[in-house]
Amino acid sequence: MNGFRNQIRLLALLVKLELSYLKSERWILLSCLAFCLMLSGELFLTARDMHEFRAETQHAESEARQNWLNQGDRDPHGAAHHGTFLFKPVSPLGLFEPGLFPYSGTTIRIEAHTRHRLTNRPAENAVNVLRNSFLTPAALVQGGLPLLLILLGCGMLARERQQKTLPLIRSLGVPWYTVVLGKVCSLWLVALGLSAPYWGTLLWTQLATPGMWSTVNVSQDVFLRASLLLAGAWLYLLCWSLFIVAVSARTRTGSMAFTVLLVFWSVTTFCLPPLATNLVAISSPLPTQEEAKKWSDRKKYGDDSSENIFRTIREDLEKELLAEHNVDSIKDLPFNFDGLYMMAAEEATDEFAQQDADQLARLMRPYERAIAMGSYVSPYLAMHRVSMSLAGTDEWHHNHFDQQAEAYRRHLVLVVNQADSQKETPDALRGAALWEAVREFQYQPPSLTELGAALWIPVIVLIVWLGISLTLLFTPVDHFS
Amino acid sequence: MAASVSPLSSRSLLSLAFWGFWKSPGTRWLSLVFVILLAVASFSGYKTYQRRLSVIEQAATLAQTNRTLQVASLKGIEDPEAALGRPVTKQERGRARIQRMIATLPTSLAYSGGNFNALLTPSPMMILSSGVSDLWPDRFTITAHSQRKNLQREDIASPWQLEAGVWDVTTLVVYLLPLVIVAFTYNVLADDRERGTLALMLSNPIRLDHWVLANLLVRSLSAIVLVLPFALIPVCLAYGSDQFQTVATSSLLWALLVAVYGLFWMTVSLFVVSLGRSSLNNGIVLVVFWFVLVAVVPNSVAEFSQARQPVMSQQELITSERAFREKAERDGKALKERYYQQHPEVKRPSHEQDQYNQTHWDVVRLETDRQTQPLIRKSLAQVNARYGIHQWGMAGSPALACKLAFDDLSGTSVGQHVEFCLRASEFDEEFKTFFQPRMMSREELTLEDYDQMPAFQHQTLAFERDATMQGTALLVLLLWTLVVGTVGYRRIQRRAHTA
Repeated sequence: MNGFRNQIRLLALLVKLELSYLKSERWILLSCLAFCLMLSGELFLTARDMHEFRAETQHAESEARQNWLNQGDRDPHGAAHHGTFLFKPVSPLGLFEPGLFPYSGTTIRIEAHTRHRLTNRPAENAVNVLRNSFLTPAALVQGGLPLLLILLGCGMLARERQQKTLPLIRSLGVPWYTVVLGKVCSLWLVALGLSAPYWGTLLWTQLATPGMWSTVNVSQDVFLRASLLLAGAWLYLLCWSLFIVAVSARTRTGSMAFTVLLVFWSVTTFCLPPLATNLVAISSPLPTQEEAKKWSDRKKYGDDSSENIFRTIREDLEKELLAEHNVDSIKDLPFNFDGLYMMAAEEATDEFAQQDADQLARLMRPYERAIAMGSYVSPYLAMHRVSMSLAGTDEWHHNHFDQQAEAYRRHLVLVVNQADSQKETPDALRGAALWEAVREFQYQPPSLTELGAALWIPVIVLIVWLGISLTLLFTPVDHFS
Repeated sequence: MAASVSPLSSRSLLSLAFWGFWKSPGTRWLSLVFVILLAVASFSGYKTYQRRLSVIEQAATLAQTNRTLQVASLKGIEDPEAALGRPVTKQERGRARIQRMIATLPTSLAYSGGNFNALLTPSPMMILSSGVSDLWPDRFTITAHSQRKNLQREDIASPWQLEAGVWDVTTLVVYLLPLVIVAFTYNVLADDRERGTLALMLSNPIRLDHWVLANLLVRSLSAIVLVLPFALIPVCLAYGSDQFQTVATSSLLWALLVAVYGLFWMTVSLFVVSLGRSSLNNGIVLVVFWFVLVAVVPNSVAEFSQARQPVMSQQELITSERAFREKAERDGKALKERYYQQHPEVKRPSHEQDQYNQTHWDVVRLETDRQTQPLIRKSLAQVNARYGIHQWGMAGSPALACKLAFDDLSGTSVGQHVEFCLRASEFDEEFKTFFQPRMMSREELTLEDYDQMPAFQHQTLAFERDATMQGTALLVLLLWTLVVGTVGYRRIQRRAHTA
């Protein structure tokens, strides 16, 4: 028991010594202060942007609903074309990891016959000339902070070795693991201190003032996500601290450790993400909007080898209904034939739209796969994927919104087409009653359990990386001394 | 005795520095990796350029073919093969039939896509710097639909790729060239001191400041020289075209900026080396400099521009447009009456000519556009103002100055894209000014009308350069280089005297 207490005391002494060394270097203090200021500023400005965006989205949603309800006596088919707009809400944790949100569409037009894509990416008007410069709080913590830790920690053991203090400490009977643990703990403490504005705000928003960022109540799911995000950030910084000290321990000089770590950081954090996605763009370019439009146009209107599908649908339906009701003309049918035809045509176009959406998703997949492959070698990418999934700002969440928007579009078109088909009957919905019959769109975000593999694979990568760092670290390398 | 020995000639000093550099571990590997990365970036840029050019050419060809078919129809040539002078497919024949049908109908022609475009032809310089071309559109189809719809950006892009950022030669120059120079130069002098060879070297007729300068120059130029040949790619591609001279000048300017930017980082190294610290400390301080100049300052400028200059959101624009339209639909009858009163030259169509009351919707759209257009232009002007803040901000970061100048030279800057959108908005207005009276009268179009139809005149916007921006960027780079270089050189001279 006494031995354990002594070890702890020794560890605390080593941590204190290391921190006092770091404190004595003026440039270290200045850099840390600058980083904290930058992170706090970034958090403040991102929070403000998110708040504004959320308010604008809520206003736009309510205006769109009012616009739909105030259509007066518009013809149902006209209403199906007039349609409405849906606006993608910003996730409650978007402040801590904007992820792909600024680069994905945020508005979608809802109308009959056409399944529009989400458009208007917030990044379009943001004017970020140097886009690879760690522009978000998460990017600063996940990309910028490790660089600062490298600068602080690359010489930790190499310096002791060069100054011949390492053999001296070891000769006093201090075990290797206590020495390296002391270094790791001090570096991790610095990392936690530097990232305090980030996780402090995360804790504060979840515990002290739930719901202050939005009208959305912080549910249990969001709280769980926030807790995992916090734990993930701490684990990630621990991984880097371990890795940096491990490299410092296994290199002869501080310069060599610095070079190795800088190259590792440059490749995995800076080069890999754009390189991977741009290589995919060379091998699997995405279609242009004109090319994508041609996919369904070809199916709808036919080409050299096929016919116009609408003509066929109309003819088949006409034949079927005339026979069923035993009449000679569609005018004699007890309902509006055009409304029914619209419903049948819509079924076909919905099917085509789904095929197109699936095809586009297939073509988009290699980009995500490239990032997923990259995350096997890049802790930055692994953490980035985890945090995006947790914050609900990844592509999966984007597609989830898109699917709900499409379900809503089908609901809206079905309601107005049904009304259109009944327009000559007394029960037909008209005016305000019809507009009210189309429910208001309420986006239901997915729960954490639905994320599945999107979350677990990068977490496993981080754990493997932690294991490798630990193994490297706790293998004594006294022979360099 | 030592004073009588003549100092080493500059040439010998440079050769000695180069030999030392070439033999230092990792140098050749790092150079090779950097060149490979540059080659990949160039290839990626080339593919993007080719693809964009092909899309623009396809859109222009389609519009031209449609116009030929429409004009031929008015001249009484019904056969598409005779009109186009080549065999046509079944699909083209179907399209030709549609063009014949709409050739004389102003409303149908104005509403159908593919006939009028605002196109931005990419410059081959785009291979070096793709700027914001992945986020901003390079083409709009102009129709009789609302201007907001016409100028809607709908390009398909992977959010992963947009978030990761572009991988072009400019990105490598702005971010990685300084790191390569840092890697090549951080141990100049410090390494000699740490290995104990400094005293031995100084016992020769070599001045310390000359030795440091020669080493820094050789090492920095070695990195810069790796980049410069890539500036020739756009020149080769533009060879023989009308824009050759413009591209060649842009390329030359690009190379000059790269050289000055590289020299700036050399002076930063000179300054850090003059502090006389260990190579590890030099490396750390240089990386801090790098992070501040390529990340902290540009980030702060971006954040400041966003805070200082808000831009109307798309949500707001959509909501406003819908509200304008709602009101215009309510007042449709009165608006239509007013239109005919204000335009006595426009003949009111008969009920047969306008059986679906299309003129009602045309006047609703006209009113909606009248109110929305100032908002669209205001939002573009706001983005431009943000960009203007960046132009001021480049004084604080050579990296930002370089990037802005590179994008401008390549025709992919925010400013050029905003300008393109503004021109497209003007073209949309011009298009509607031409078609609106014809749509409201529903009279048939004639060959004379076709001669007067508007066309987009600013297709070569990407080849235009902002001389003020280039000059300012170069001035900023030279000033930084001069100031940091002078401070560093004075310090190293003082050290040389002490040594």
